[in-house]
Amino acid sequence: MKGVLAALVLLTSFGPTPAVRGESIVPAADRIDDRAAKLALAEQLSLREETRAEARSIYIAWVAAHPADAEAIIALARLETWTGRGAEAVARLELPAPQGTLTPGARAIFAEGFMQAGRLADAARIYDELLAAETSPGAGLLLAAGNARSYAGRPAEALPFYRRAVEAAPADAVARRNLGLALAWTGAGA
Amino acid sequence: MTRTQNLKFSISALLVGLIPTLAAPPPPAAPPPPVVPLSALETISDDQARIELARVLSYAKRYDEALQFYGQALAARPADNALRVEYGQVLGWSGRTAEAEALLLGIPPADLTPAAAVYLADLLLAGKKFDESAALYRRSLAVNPGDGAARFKLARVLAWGKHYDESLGEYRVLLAALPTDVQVRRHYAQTLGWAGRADEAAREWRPTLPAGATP
Repeated sequence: MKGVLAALVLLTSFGPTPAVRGESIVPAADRIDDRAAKLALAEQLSLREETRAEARSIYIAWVAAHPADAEAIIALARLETWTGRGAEAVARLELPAPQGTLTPGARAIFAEGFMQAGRLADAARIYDELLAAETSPGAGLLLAAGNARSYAGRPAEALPFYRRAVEAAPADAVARRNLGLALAWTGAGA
Repeated sequence: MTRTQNLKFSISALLVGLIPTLAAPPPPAAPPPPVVPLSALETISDDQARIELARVLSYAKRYDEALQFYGQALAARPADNALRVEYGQVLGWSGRTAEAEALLLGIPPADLTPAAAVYLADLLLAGKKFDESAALYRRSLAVNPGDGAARFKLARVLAWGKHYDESLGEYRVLLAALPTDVQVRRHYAQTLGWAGRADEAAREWRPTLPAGATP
């Protein structure tokens, strides 16, 4: 009831005219432009499996028209990894625009793309770089760095990463399982 | 022409000659300036004169001078909270925001004008004091519920403080009054996204985009 009353007061105070004239009560510095709105829509659509195809179409159309928009390219690459298109994610991130602005988050997407594309050595290299930049890396990153070795058939190299992952998150079931497997495969747990 | 006729003519001629003179008399002398009795003048105290001067100087953005006069007036009226509110706002406008914040925080909230409450809330936002800011925006809105700018600020600060449901409620009040304000709807959509309500967020983003913007 209070909300309705406040809306009525607002209505009598402003009426619909500001927006009709293209104006807004939102200060200029806080306005969200069409680009941000479009990418935000794509991001929300990315979050649900049923709407990811539409999100991908929006990103692809935008990136085609704006090939220097690194943020959009990185968002598209992330979506590609979510839909198992690792090779496409890598191809997009290898473009000049995103290469100039790869944040740690974008580098993690890059590494995931390499993993999915089977380029495990490249993935391991990026995970190592990310780990080197962290003073206390999380279990997820340590696990991914271990997986890049383990999936390449080098479980002995994965062991120290899995051990650190379990130390960082003792309750993490995946970390514990992967450490157990690596120990079994290498005979180190015997 | 007889003598009588001559006399009549002369009088007529004289009258005719006088007519223009009668129609446009010479302008009267300017009246002397009115003498207003001193008893009729509003008595302006020295303090009030200082305050008015301080205001004028602040409007002219001559903040340092304004603050000097406000300071003198406040020294004479230390308990005048309305004056302290003005002083605090001018302190902020002059860039001395920390002092402004401290001063305005020292004033009982009931004594803050709606504008001062909004101003203090804006200052507190710099320190990410979201809850305190929200309370002040609400205080202002209780007096001026039609202040859309203040309600927008309240909606945003509630979202920043992760009070998404309350924030969305304020956005809905705004949108009920301003259904075609694209910017308000975009902020509403953004907050829906932050709240994890992806479907609703997407639904609100769509109509804000130019026609044909999505595939």
